[in-house]
Formats: sequence, C-alpha cells, structure tokens
Amino acid sequence: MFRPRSICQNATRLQFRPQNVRRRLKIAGVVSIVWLTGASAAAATLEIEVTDREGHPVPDVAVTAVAPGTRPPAAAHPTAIMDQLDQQFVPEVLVVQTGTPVVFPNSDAVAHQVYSFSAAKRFALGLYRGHPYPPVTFDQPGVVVLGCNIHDQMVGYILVTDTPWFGTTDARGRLALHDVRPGEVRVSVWHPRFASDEADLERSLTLTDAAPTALTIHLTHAMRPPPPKGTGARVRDY
Amino acid sequence: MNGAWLSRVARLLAAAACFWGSSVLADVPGLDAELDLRLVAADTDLTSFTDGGLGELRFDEDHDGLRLGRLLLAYQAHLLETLSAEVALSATGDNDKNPIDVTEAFLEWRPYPRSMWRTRARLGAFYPPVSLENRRVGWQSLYSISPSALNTWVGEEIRTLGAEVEVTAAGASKGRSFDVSAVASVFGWNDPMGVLIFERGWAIHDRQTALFGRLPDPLGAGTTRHGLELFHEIDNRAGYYVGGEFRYTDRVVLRALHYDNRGDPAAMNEYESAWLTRFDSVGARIELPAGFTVVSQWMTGDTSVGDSDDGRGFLIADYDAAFLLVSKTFGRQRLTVRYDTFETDTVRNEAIFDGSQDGEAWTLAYIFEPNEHWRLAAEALRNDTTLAPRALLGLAPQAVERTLQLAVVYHF
Repeated sequence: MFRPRSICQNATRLQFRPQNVRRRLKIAGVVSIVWLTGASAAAATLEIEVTDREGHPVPDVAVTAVAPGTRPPAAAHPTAIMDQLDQQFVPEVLVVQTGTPVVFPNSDAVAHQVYSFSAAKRFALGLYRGHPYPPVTFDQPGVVVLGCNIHDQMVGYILVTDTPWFGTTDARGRLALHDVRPGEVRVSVWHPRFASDEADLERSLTLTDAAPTALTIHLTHAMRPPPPKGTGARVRDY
Repeated sequence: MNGAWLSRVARLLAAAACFWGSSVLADVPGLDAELDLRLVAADTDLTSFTDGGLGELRFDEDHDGLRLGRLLLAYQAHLLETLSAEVALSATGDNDKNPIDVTEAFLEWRPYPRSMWRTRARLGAFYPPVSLENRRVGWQSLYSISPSALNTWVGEEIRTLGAEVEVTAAGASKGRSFDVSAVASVFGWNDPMGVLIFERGWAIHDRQTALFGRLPDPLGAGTTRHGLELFHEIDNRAGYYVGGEFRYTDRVVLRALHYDNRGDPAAMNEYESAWLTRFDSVGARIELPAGFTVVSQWMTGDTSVGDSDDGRGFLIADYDAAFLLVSKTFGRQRLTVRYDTFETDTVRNEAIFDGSQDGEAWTLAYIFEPNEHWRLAAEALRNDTTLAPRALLGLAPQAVERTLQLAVVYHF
C-alpha cells in the first residue's frame, strides 16, 4: 500500500516535517530558556562543539548543563514533537525537561505502534496513523528508549532532564546554550550511539557573563551505526 | 488461432479484470495488489515442469510471448491491538487446479515488549524463515524475478501449516546494535514435501505452489497419475523446525535453521506417499557501502520414501544447494548477478530409481522502479543441469535451458 494522498496532505498541512520539527524544537527551546531565566540579570553563554574520532561534527548529541544547588523552576513546558517518518523516529534523539508533554505524530502512510518499557516512562500508543493521541508527559528524568511494535528496526530516544539548560547539537555538531546561570556548571554530552567505553563526557566549567565559554569534545571511539532506514511497507524479511 | 492461445488470452483478460476490479479498493489500508505481465522467450528442448515435463524453469518454448507472471492480492488486517491477519492470493495463469489460490494465510500476535525480550507468534500457513532473498510483498525476490534454486524449492514444496514462536533479545535498550532471535515451530500437512526435489531435482522460477494447488507429476506424463498436492497430512506425525537469527542493524543478517517434517516414509494416502524430509540451512546477507548487497545461502538435507526394514525409507536422496548473489542499486535501478550450484544424489536403491541431479545456473537481472506504482524487470537465466530421470523418458540427461523475461508490474 502506498501513502494515501489525504494523509500526505494532512502531514503537509500540519507541518510534521523533520525540518519543521527541528525548527519548532529550536524555537521552543530558545523561548523556554529566555522565559525561564529572564528574571536573572546575569546570564552566561556556553558554546559546545562535538566531533567524532575523525574530527567530523556529530549532530543530535544531547547536551545538558547542570548548576549544582539550583532547583528547576516550576514552569509550563511547550509541547515537544517526536515524529515518525520513513519508518524512523525523527529526531533520533530528543531532549526535554522533566514534565514536558511530547506528541508522537505518524507522518507515514503505514500504521505505527509506539511503546517504551524504560523505567523513566512506560507507555504504549496503540496502532495509529496520523496524530490521534494526546501528548505523553515525561515526568521522571532518565533515558526513554522508543520502539515500534510493528517495525522492529525503529528506535528513538528521549532524554528527560531536570535542568532548564539543554539542547542537541546541529548538523555542524554545535550548540549554544544561552542564559545559563554564571558560576560552576557540570556539562554532559550524551548520544545513544556513543561507544560504551567512551569516557570524559562530563566536564565541570565556570561560566562568566563576560564572554561565551567554548567547550569542544572530541570522541575517541567510533560511534555505533545509526538505526536502519525503513524499507517501506512492501519490503521485509519473511 | 488455436484453443490454447484463446484460453491464455482469456486468462490474461480475466486476471486484468480482477486486478482493475480490485482497484476500487486502492485506498484500503493494508491491501496490496499487483499485476505482473511477462514477455517470455525460452530456448530449451525440454517441457517445463508446469506442463508435466522435466524442464526446471517455469517457461519453455511453448510459453513464448505474453504471459501472466502473477496476479497478487495481499491483505493485512489488524484484528486486535496486537493481533493481525495476513492473507496472500495468487494467480499464475498456468494449468493449476484453481485459477486463484492462497499462498499464505496466518495470524500474527506481537505483544508489546515489557523488557528487552520481544516475542512474536504466528499461526496458519506461512513461509519458514529460510530465504534472505524473498523480501518483497507476496514473498517475491527483491533482487531478481526468479529466486535462487534453494529458495525456489521453499516456494514450491514448503509451507509451515502450524504454529511458530520467535523470541528476540533486542539490543537497543541495552545500548547494543544487534538483535539475537531464536525461532521454533510445530507443523503438519506438509508430508508430500520432497517428492519434487527427488523426482525432478532443483528448479529456478518464481512460481509459488498454492495451498490448494496441484502440480503435474513430473514422471506421470501420459499416465492417469494424480498430480502432486503438497499440503496434506498423511502420517499424522507433526514436524518441527528450530533456528536462530543474528541481525546487526540492517547491515548483517545471519540465519540458521534445522528442519524435519518427521514424515513416516511408509505412510500413504489414496494418491500420495509421505516423505521424510530434513534439512539444515544457513544464510547471510550483508549490506556493503555504495549500494552493494551480498546474499549467500546453503542448504543440505535428505528425503526418503517407501517402506523399509530400518524405517528410513526404500528410496533415499541427499541434496544440497548454494548460491551467491551480488546486487547493486543505482537510485531506482538495481542490477543483480547470481550463481547457483545444486545437486541431488539418490543413495539407496538407485538401481530401481535414480533421481540424481547435478546443475549450476547463472542469473542476471535488472529492475527499475520509476515510481511507486510501476516496476520493470528484465532477467536472463541459464540453467545447465544433468538429471538422471530424463533418460527414463528417452531424453538426454544433460540440458541447458535459457529464458529471457521482461516483466511489467503495476501495483497499488
């Protein structure tokens, strides 16, 4: 069965396209950071770059900055989006603050069945096309591994974090975290496909509001390969 | 204009009408329909097994011209949240018992995983996990028109009519890129399997035997012998298979299977004998950079029939087959070359009947999918075999069969 036109049109109208999702996430992230920290006069900027063993940029790396002794401000979180397109989760890695609602639209013509058995969030969204379900709220910090019970090769990840300062690296392997509280912060980078023996993924830094602080992380081990591309509804192993 | 030509045209028109009739269902989720028309040119002295001969390809010189490759209607429905039903109906346009028939029909249960262990169960009629080529809807090869000799035999004589459970240790939640699975099945209604490979040897073609279908007996031409019906229970003994799979993302798939139909070679029904057929099969598929795929499988086993003092059968044949396939995609195009080698060896009472075969084949295929509805495929096949039973019919045991096929496939 090929993608019925009506669903294609819906998908376009609702703008659940990966580039739009990324843009929305970026806007949402920036808006929330500005909103959360707007009251503070002093604000620091952290610029992070992640490169792989060969020196190439690594996109989609989750970055969190934690300032010890601070409690996450109570805040309303904008809804984040984990899309499903071409039998893949898009983005592969999504970072949200604890308490964030996430929607799981299905932009494919084939039905999906999203589930997680991770301790941080157990849930299942029964067989669906389009976007019939209300958002799922991620209320505990941790890593949530997503699967599709119909397409075994689909794997996605949501990192739920308490800190208000987080993001993922762009195509150039870069991320700028603005309006971070100046002082001591602990910066962590994470990607589900980092080698298990990759070390030195957490750094302690002192941020000042005078100038942006740059941090470059070079991976020393090869990353694991990405999840396979979808083969389409008409191809599978028997 | 003769009767055979008229009936062929009538069958083509009927298939086309059936296909276009179902096109009103094009928007039904889960429905796949495919009409595959072929232009065939054959070069062989033999009559195809589909017409009761000892040729090992689907088409002989009598089939030259426009043919129906296959009409396929496949439907998958979700009956419950974790329970789905799948059925595949096929018409091949040859002289089968039913003009359209069932090739697969089963229920599949996939409970939500609660840990890294993933379970899947199937009940009904389906293919055992042997082929690494037949990945397209309707169990068609992704790489060529005709699958390898090994997988052709699976499509001809083997169908699991029973239950299968697969358990997978899925690596993702543990930070691993590979999954490991174990599979086991208990089945019945497949007792005649082995008769084709014993009498006619390995073949290479895309015709799958339907569950209620019938093939001409390869040694029954001109006699009153009943055709071969492969999906019957004769000895009331269940068969089984056990196997395993290793999957490293989509890059490497390794499979192994031990299969035993536990047939009683002394048992018979009104028309057919039960055969004791067993095999081991291993295979690998590796995706390489630049769009290259390599697939290789090997199978070895034996089959036996007839009463004997030791219960092992009056006639016994050993068989094995292997192939190596290299395929490369260029955007929407794919080019595949495949080498097949295969043999059967009658090892008991061969003086009474010797069905031994020794052969090799080369296949060159080109597939172009210009858009989501059309597929064009061209395939050249050269099958060079020596088959002992041809001598019984006064034919030369050694023969080279060649076919050139052009397939135009429309699907929705």
